[in-house]
Amino acid sequence: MNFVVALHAEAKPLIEAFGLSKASCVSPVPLYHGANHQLAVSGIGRIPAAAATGFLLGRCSLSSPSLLNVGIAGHGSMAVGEAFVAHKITDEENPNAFYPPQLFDDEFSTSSLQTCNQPCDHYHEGLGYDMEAHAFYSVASRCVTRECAQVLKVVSDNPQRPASSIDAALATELISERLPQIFRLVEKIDGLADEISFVSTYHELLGQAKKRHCFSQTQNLQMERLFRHAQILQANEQSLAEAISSAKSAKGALRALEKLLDQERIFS
Amino acid sequence: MISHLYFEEEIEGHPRAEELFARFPKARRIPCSRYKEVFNPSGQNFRLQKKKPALILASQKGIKLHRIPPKYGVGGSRNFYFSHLLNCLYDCRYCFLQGMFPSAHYVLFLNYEDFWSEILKATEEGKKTPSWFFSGYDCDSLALESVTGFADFFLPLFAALPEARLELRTKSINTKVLKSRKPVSNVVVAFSFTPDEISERLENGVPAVDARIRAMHELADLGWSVGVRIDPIIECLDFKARYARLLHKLFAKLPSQSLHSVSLGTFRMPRRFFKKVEKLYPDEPLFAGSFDHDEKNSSYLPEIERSLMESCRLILKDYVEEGKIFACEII
Repeated sequence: MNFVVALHAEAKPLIEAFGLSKASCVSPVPLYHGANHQLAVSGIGRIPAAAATGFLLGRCSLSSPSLLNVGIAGHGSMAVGEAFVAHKITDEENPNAFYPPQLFDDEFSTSSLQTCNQPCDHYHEGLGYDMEAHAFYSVASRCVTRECAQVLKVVSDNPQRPASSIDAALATELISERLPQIFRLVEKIDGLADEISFVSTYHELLGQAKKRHCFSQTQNLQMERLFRHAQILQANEQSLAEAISSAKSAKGALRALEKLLDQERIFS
Repeated sequence: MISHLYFEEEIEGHPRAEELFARFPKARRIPCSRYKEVFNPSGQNFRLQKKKPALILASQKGIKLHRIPPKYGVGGSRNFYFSHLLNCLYDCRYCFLQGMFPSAHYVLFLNYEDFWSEILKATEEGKKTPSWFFSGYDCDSLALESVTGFADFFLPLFAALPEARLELRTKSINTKVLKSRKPVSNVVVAFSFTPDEISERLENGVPAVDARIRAMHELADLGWSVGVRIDPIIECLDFKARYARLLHKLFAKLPSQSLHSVSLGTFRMPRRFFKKVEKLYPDEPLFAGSFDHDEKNSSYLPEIERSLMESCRLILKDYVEEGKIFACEII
C-alpha cells in the first residue's frame, strides 16, 4: 500500500503501526517505507498532495499498485472520531467530481467529501471537508485502478466542535483510534490489487528467450502473450525451452512457440 | 443485493426512482449530475466491480433507438435495439459488455415513456414493414425484472401495437412476468444457450441449461413465441457431441409452431473489446483459443468458424426448418 498523508502528526500512528522507517534516498517529501508499504508526508493542500502522490507512484514497481489517502477532516453531521471512506470527492474550485468505486462491506461508513482551500467553518449536512483528497484522487485515478485508490478520513471537527480546536496531538490520537479500520481497509484494497495482477510462472524462461534472441518491441509483446497462453494452456516447459533454443532468430522462436501452442488451443 | 445507489439529481422524485429507493432502503444513496460521471471514467476495473455492482438511476437523454446491422435480424428488415439497462446480472466470460463498458455498475434508465415514444415513431415510419425492437443487447431483458419492471411496462404497450415486434433476450428463468399474462403474439422470448459443459465454465451466475430449457418449454406451452440463440458458439473439445446433445434437448420436445427463430453466431467481438477483456482475465483459457485478429474484429480462424457453423446447421436440420435459422456474422 502507498499512503499519502498531509501531516506528520497524522502519519505517525501509521508509521509505527506498519513498522515503516525513514527512507535514506533523496526525496522531495518525507518518505517512509517497509517491506510492503510506503508512506509520503505530503504537506497541506492540493499541490503538495498531488506531487507526493505522483512521487510515490513513480517509485512503484508493482503492476497493480494501491493508494490510500489518510487524514483528518471536518464533517457536517458525523461525530468527531468517526472514520469514513469517501464515495464522492468534489472540489470547491473544480467542477469535476470523483466517485471512487466502493466494493467493500458495510463495515466502513462512507460519505461525500469536498476539498477546500481552508479549514471549514460552515458545515453542510452529510458532507466532509478536507484540503487534499481531490488532488490526490485526480493523480491516483490516472495511474491506478480506481478501485485500488481510496480516501479514508477521520472526523476531527464538526458544527459542535470547530476546526480551531484541532492540534497535532489530537490528529495523532484520532488516527490512532481508527487504526483497526485502516488495517482492514488496507487489507481489502491490497486484496483487490492482488486479484488483478497476473504472475507469470514462466518468468525465467521468458527472460532466457529475451537473452538468446534479439526481439523488437512488438516481438517482445508477442512473446509475452505467447508465454501467457503457454501458462493458461499448461504447456510443457521443457518443450517451450527447446523450441526457443533451437530457433535461429527471434522470428523463428515466435513461430516455433506459436506452432507448439497451436496444438493445445482448444477449450475443454 | 444493491449496496450503493447512485442517482442523477434530476431523477430524484421520479416515481420509479422513489420505488427503488424504497426497495433498497439500506443502500447508500449518492447523487451525481449525470450517470456518465460515475459510469464512464477510464481506469475502472470491470472484473472487480462485477463482484459488487452498484445501481445507477438515470435518464436516457440521447438517441434511444439504434439500428441493428442488416445481418443481425431474425427475419425483419427494419431492426432496432434499445437499452433501458446497461450491464447484466450475469457474468459470462465471453460477453462483449466486459470489453465495451468501462464499468460493471448497472445503469437503469427510468424514462421508459421516452423509449416508448421513439418506438411508436419508428413503427409509424415503417408502417409497410414490421419494425423489430431488440431489448437484450446491452443487458439481459428479464434477469433484473423484479428491479426494473421493464417487461411489465412494455408488454401491454406492444400488445396494443401489433405492427411492431419485440424480442426479449434472456438467460433468466424469472419468467413470472410472462406467465402471469396472456401471450403477446408480436413478442418473441429468445433464450441463449451454450452446452452444459461450456455454461458451467463460462456463464457465472446463470441458471443451469436444463432449468432454462424448462422455462422456455413452459412458455411455449403457454402459447408464447420463443426463440433460441446459439450465440456465441464456442469451439471446444467434443464439439459436435456437446452441441448435438444441447440441440436435442432444446428442440426434441418443442412444438415447432412455438419456435419463432434460431440464430447462430460464433464467438466474436470487436478487436478493442477483446484486447480489454483479455487484460481483465489474463488467465482465462477461452481467450487462448485459435483466433484471427484483424484491425476491427477478433474471431475464430475462418476455417474454424465455417466448420462450427456448418456443424450446428447440420444438427439443426433434424429439428428446425431452414427458414427459421439465421446466421449472425461478423460485420
